[in-house]
Amino acid sequence: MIVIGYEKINSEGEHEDVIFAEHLDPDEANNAMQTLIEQEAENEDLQHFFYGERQSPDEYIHIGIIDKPVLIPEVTE
Amino acid sequence: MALVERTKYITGNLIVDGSVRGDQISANTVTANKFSGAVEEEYYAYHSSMYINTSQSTLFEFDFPEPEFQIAKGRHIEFEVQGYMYKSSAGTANGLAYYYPQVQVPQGQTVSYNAGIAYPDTGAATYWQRAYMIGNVANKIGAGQVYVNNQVKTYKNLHYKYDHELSNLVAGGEFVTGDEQYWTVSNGTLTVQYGYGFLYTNSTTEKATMVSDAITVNDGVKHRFKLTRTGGTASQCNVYISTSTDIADAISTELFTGSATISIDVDIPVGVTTVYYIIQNDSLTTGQYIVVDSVRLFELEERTYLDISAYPTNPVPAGGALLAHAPFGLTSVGTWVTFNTLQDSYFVGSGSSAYYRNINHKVYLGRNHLPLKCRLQAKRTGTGINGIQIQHLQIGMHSRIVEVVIPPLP
Repeated sequence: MIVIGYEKINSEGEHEDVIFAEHLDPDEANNAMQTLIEQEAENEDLQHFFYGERQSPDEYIHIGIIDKPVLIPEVTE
Repeated sequence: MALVERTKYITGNLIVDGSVRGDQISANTVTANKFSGAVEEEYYAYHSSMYINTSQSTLFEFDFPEPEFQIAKGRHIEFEVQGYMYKSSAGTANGLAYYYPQVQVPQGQTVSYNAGIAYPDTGAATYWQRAYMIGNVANKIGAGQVYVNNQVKTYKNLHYKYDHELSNLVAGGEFVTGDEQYWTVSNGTLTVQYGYGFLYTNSTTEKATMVSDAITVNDGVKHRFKLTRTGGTASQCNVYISTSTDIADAISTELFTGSATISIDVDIPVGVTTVYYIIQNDSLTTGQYIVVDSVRLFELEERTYLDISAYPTNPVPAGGALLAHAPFGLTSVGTWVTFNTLQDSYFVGSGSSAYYRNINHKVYLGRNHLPLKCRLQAKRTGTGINGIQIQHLQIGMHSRIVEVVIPPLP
């Protein structure tokens, strides 16, 4: 089971995982990741997005990360 | 004077001038040990004077060049990190450093490399499924995940075993009631009692001998012969594996005294498809006997095992499925996939200001032919410390040709 989520810094300054979706199908997981990236792109607490794999009902491991996108400020004239 | 034909060699010049072309070479005939030159490639990267942050961040980014001629090769990345934790306070300090070797999923590539047909096995822990592939394919699976039955899964317990015993081929070797019928006895008597075979001598000139029925074997394949002798009055027991009922044609001989369990691996010669188990009581004293049991013969099969993450269901079906190494787990392009996270602990005593560490770490990426964007990320945790500095970070990138023939579908 592929776990889609992101790691953020919580109000106590600790790192915390936020799970967004879980899919068995890799294509559905990748679609969920794209949705998550679009949804959280401007979340300032976000450290990075992650792919994980659930290995039991209680645990999962991180497989890979997608860096937080670098936001280019809008140029106003 | 006799004419002697000189040995002919193919040189690189013939390839360069076009005398020998690739389409003149039969498939699967060129092996790694015939290559010279770029069989192995070694590249190097270096950085120094970086600090590990409390949040996960990149220490160093580098590219792993594609193998020459885009030949798929087994690829390693090796890290050597020399660093130290430092503090300015009077007390002790301790902490952990986490290192995350990462490779970015390449553009436009679905990266998975077939390893073999996986079949389900037993013995794995809960939420894991043990599977095996026939042959030695361990070097076709590197760090990351495997792709099987349209699922991407982590794995563990990857190992090669050269001697999996297939089913026992000997009839009558357990010596249960009636097993005498499977043996031809000369110069003696075979009786079956208590689950054992008793071979008595009744000749003072010829040794008592029991010969198994013909056993059909696969030629050119390693087999294992086993036998347990549990006692008897005769001193010596002789065991032969022969291509006929005559010990003169033996391809394996084991002579031993006393009680013992023997296990002999024999390469069945090419062209031999029938063998006989011959057991001999070496005594020429009438009435002396040997007691034997568990006379068995197995064909040995090379296997590569691994335990595959199996939550929520077992990924490998009963009939088997093609298994591929998917180093990037089919994550999307641009993802940085972490391979083999490494943790290291630091402790600085109250009388010290720094604690030095030197660690090595290695990641096998499996076989591929791609240029790879790589980086090493790290973070630190702990109390009482001012920081961790990396003095030297040396990176070796190694590509080596590995065997690429995939076992055919059964």
